Amino acid sequence: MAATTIADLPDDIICNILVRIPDIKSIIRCNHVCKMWRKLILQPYFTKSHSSRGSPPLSLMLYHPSDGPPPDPAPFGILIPTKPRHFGILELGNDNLTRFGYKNATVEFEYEIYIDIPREGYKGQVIGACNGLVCLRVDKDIVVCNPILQGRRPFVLPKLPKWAYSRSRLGFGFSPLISDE
Amino acid sequence: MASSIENNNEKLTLKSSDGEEFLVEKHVALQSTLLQNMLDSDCSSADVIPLPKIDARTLALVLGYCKKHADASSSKQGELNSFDSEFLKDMDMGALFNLVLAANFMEIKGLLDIAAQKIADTIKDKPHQEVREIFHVENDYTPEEEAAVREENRWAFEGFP
Repeated sequence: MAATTIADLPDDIICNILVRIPDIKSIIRCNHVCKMWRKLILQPYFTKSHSSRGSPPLSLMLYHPSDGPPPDPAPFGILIPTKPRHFGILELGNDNLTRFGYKNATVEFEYEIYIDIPREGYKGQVIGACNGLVCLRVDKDIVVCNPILQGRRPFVLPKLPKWAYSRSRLGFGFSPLISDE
Repeated sequence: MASSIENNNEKLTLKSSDGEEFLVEKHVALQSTLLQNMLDSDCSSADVIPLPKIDARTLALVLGYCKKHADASSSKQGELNSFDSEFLKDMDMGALFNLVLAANFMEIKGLLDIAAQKIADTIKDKPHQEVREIFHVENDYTPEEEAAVREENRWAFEGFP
């Protein structure tokens, strides 16, 4: 009998395996293995179940880049992007999570993931992350993007009324009631 | 109750795809939701239950896992965890795939979880060419398509060929 290969596994089992890969970088490289894997990874279900696994080292932190030279020493919680004008998502390793909550703790990040917003000279800020999607404010625009689809253009939401920019705080969440799945 | 004690001593017979029969204690078989449902319905434990998709080598592994988990009390979680990692250690990919298929078919969630995780851990941090080799996956991208997909995610390939 020929040895069993991954081609003998039904799609749902392959998906069950891929969704357990902890880091986003490895998942993205799996896009390149074959078209079927790419199809599985790009379905909305995949992002949702991957982000909802939620166990370390999946935890994500966000930072936004500063324009000036990096402060020295860098204060805790503010991380210096290695590429200017990119938003970054940082993926924490297991060891780092235990260090949170300690004064003067330093954290090392395993990965930096860049979301490239093609616009010169913007002021950007992170609004939030949810279900594998990231919401950013870029200048006057609110944009949503999926880091797994890093090369695709972010989705720009309709403009908010003027007062909303100065007097409001923005958040980003998910309502299961109006989910299309 | 008398009936439950009696049930605990019951055994049932499973038959692998290559015709080998395994005599299994009922409490061990109950680790499998599939077998549990069969026993809950009319299926008599005197019958031989055929498992046409699972070969004898895989079934022996599956039943070893089920026996360990059925016999251990809930207080021995640490012991079970080390059993689980030892159980999959040095297992080749073909055997792991068979195990995942069997655990999926027999609905043994714990076994499906650890075997799928083991395969996922093998993929992590490997270049995609190596993943193709390990899993014997045929590359169905044209060179142009592959370049386009790669361009989409340049950063994920930093440090990779």
